[in-house]
Amino acid sequence: MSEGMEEIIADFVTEAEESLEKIDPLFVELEAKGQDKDLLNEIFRSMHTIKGAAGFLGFQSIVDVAHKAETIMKKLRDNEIQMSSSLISVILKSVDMLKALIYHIKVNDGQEEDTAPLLKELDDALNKAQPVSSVEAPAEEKQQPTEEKQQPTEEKQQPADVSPAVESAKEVSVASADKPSVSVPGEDKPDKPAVSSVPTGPVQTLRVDINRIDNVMNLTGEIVLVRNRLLNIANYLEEKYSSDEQVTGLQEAVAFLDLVTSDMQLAVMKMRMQPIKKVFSKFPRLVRDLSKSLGKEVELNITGEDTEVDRSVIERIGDPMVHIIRNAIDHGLESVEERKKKGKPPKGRVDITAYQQGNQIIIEVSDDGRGIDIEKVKSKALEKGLITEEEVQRISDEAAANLIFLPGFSTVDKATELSGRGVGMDVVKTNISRLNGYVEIVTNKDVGTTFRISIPLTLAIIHALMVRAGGVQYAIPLGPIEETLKIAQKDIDNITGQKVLAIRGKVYPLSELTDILGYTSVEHSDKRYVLVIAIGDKKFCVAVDELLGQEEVVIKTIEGIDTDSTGILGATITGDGKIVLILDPSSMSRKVTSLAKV
Amino acid sequence: METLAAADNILQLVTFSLGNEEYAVDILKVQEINRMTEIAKVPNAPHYVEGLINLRGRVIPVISLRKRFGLKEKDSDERSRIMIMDIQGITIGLVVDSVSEVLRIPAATVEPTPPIASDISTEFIKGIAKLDDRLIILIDMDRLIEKSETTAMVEATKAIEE
Repeated sequence: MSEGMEEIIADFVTEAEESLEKIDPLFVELEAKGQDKDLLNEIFRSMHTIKGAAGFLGFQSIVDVAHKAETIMKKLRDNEIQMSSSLISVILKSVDMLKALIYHIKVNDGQEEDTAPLLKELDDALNKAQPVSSVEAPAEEKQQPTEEKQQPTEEKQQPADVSPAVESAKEVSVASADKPSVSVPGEDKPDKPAVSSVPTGPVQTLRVDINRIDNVMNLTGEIVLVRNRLLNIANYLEEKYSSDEQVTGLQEAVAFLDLVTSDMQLAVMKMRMQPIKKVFSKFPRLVRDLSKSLGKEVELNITGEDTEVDRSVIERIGDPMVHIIRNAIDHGLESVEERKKKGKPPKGRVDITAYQQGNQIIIEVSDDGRGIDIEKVKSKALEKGLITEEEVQRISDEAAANLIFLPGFSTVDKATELSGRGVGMDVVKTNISRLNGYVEIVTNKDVGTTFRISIPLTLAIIHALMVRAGGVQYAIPLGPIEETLKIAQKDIDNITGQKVLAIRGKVYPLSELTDILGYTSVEHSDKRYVLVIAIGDKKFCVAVDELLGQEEVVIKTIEGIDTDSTGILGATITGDGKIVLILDPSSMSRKVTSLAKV
Repeated sequence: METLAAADNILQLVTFSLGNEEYAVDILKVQEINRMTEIAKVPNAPHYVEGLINLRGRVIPVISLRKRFGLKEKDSDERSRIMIMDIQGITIGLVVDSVSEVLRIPAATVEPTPPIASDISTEFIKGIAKLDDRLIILIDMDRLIEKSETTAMVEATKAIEE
């Protein structure tokens, strides 16, 4: 295939994916609003666009499916048939099929989907569809008095549109008729963006390959590092030759470079930001399907979908959120009868909210269900040996709710098809901590549960405290560090083998950073610096030899090492080219707890 | 393994030594060969992970092949090299005693691994090339990192990269 063709197909895939993504929430809205003409028209148009482009490129199976679905949409729009939930379901199925077909084209795996059963289902659905009642459309009644006669009627109407009986050959020509410039493939591009840009308003956009942006991002990172080096050298020169005019000039130039580099870094970062709508738009459909299969009524409210987050967040946040939403609907929300008994409205509520708070993006998923049964969680955790009897007594409710994030925990005895897929909430936590974020749970019995996910705005740069322990420099994200203290060895107490430190009357476990990192037999000087770190409701102290100051560091990914088990988030390169590891505070928290148990 | 399958072809290999034995890898997997540089230790990593190096602004893990193969450890000297390899899309450095040459051999000279062939466990060996009086052990790069490890890594990498 020529390169030009590949490009056209890639464009088609991107656009088709976008169209389909837009369709899903529209359907859910449609179900809520009833036979809304505008919505129907919009869906129809998207389908039609896909069909047209697919026909032009010769993807026959897509044309077949899109065409049949489109026919139904057209009849719905023109008020010829009555909308029903079975009709919607079968169209949603076609949307799924289209997604699958387009995916095959995208990855070019040469696989085929069997569209025949779906095509038949679509035909059946259309045949069974009820004509609109006589009052609404009296003219139609004569044409479609009974179901048996509907078939011929349909065919009579078809010639005006496209006859499903006249298959492929005509289909393609119809599709090409949509695009007048078949012979010049490049020319049909301009009108496509025009269609898609209608709802987005006057913002001008340019589609850029993400690899190019990432490349710019990496290069920017390089410049940042060079700048840091230059800053060091300029400072050194100024100390040494403070009276030299050239050195003053260098200082000024470097200061300006410093400023520009920071701005550039921010600008590149913003290039990668996308509205979280991209993720959220999948949820109405998800919630609809879930509520259907569980027989629960759910009202979904989404706010803040324009909140912008880094592209990597868009890609990684979807799965954990799906998991949380599944949990909320499956376990959180009660059945309709149960809700009625409790005096709640029969329709359960799920709210999804996103907003920015300082340097954090907050995403909340709340339900108004039964709340997490703390006692049940405790006994389950005890039963599974995740906590001890003694801990059950001491543990706060909030901490107990967090037990559900432990690996190997699941409150439902019988794994359901929906939530119990062998992956627990621990996966949610792991995925989110990979984004340097954390999850909190707020739960109230019979009032509901809220999962609050906090993720840093940018993933590439973090504020970190530079420390030295055992002769090695480390960076620790500043976020969870509450305070730093200077103490002497004698301030550290020892309770049954666990080092502790009393701060303002409260006692916290303390570990040497070198112990946490597994470097034993390190001699420690008498003067210790202590970082007080809070992860969730857990607070602990980490002792280091030296505090080197606060710095903005660029996180460099480490490929090829399982960063989960090593407890490092990544690494950064200092001005002089040295590698400094960035430690993961939440992994430290786990280590401190496990060290305490030994 | 593709290289073995194409029997008519000439294999292009980079050979290196560990202890007394000569090893080789497919030249296409080798990105570059560097002298030893400062290696930052990584806590709690598998024992064969030497640490991280700064490769022109990229942070790359370095594996000691001696440790990976269960051979006796040896301090690095001026002949030690870090071979930067591409293993399933991940860039990794391998510490070897020394890098010898680029070799072109007919694929036919490569024989399947005999049961007990060398000091290292046979799981990493693709085959053995016989050349006059030399025996060269061909390493299967993709097996160097355990499968589950690679998958986890690939995922983690994607997570951070993207």
